Amino acid sequence: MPDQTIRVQYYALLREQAGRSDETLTTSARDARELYAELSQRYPFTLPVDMLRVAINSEFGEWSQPLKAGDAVVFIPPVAGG
Amino acid sequence: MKAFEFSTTPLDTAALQREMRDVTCGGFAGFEGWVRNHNEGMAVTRLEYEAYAELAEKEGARIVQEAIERYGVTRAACVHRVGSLALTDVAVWVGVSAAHRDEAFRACRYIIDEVKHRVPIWKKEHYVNGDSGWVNCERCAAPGAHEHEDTAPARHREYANPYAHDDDHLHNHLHGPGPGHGHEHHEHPPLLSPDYSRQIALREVGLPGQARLLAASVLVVGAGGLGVPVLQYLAGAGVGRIGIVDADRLEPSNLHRQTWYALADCGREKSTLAAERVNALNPEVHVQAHALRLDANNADRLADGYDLILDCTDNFTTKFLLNDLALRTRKPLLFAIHIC
Repeated sequence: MPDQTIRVQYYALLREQAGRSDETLTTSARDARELYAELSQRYPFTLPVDMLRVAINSEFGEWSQPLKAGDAVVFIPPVAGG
Repeated sequence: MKAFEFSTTPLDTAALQREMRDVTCGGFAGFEGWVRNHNEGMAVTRLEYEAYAELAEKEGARIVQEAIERYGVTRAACVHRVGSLALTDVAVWVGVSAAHRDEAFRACRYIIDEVKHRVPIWKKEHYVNGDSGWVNCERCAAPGAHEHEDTAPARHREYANPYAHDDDHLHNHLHGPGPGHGHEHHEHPPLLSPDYSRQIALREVGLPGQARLLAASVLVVGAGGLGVPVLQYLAGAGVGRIGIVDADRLEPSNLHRQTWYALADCGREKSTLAAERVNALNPEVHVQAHALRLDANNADRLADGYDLILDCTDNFTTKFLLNDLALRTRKPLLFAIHIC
């Protein structure tokens, strides 16, 4: 799998732990699960992947959905509206 | 006004309520969520809300639309604050107007409950001691938190699963709104809610256990002799999301043991029939039917997003496939077999 460019946005706890709101990166991750594992090596994320949901291109997505070049990925920590 | 929107400035709730007026409506039900000075035993001084607005607005609008369709109300809307909020500020406003009050109350409750656990909004609490924390995120980050649930102080328990409905919602199930008995004429039949009080009364379950069931997702492969009783009890217990995989169509020879189905259903897809039965028993279960045979190409996709796989099949080919799937995805798998 060749490397591809993905945009990642961070919110709430993940934003603070990544120290940024978004970034565009080149990755060999095939899906969002692999991408989160890769980013967990780089940032001190404390949330395990099974506590998160993932959004791809502004819609809830599946962890195993193959990533395409140019995809925008958001990892969604446990929500707390209201 | 939009069905769901964010505001960076204080909410003018009187103005919002005026927008719900309609000549066909006899009642309005509103809910305001306020910033209070304590949570989980900590003294709170202020809050910050952050949202993934692009998706949150879509999901919020879907919830409002669901409420309108489900309860037949005339108008409904929700506005949520983002940014920094002080004590007593209104954090969220929900308004519903309808011909009759019962639908308005129920739709209003539905909207706030769903918003709280589906919409990507996060809340950071600032405490008197100078500390701060993202609600639902900090404690569940600790590895092994689940194992100690039984001995943890009660205030920790609801973090077992961040997508669990909160206790308020569970109390609603516990006490249940019950059958409609107003004097008004109902155009819609009264809507009943599941009542888990007998289950919550069990010491081993309680409200935290019920919350975990509501937050759980189970994939049931096979909707026959084993799948039928399994699905009945999963649905009855209030498991939040159930997937059903079965490629077969119902045959008369199935019925002596698959007694959930009816003779008149023969020829229909079992997965669809089972999904209908699940929702007839418990309309709150999100159920998805897959009328296909699980194979090496679709197994991962089918199992994605489920916490647990139940093997209710009658053939070794699928059992081996499910075993491989469970090992590969590290998902728990329970199986049984019946020998004819």
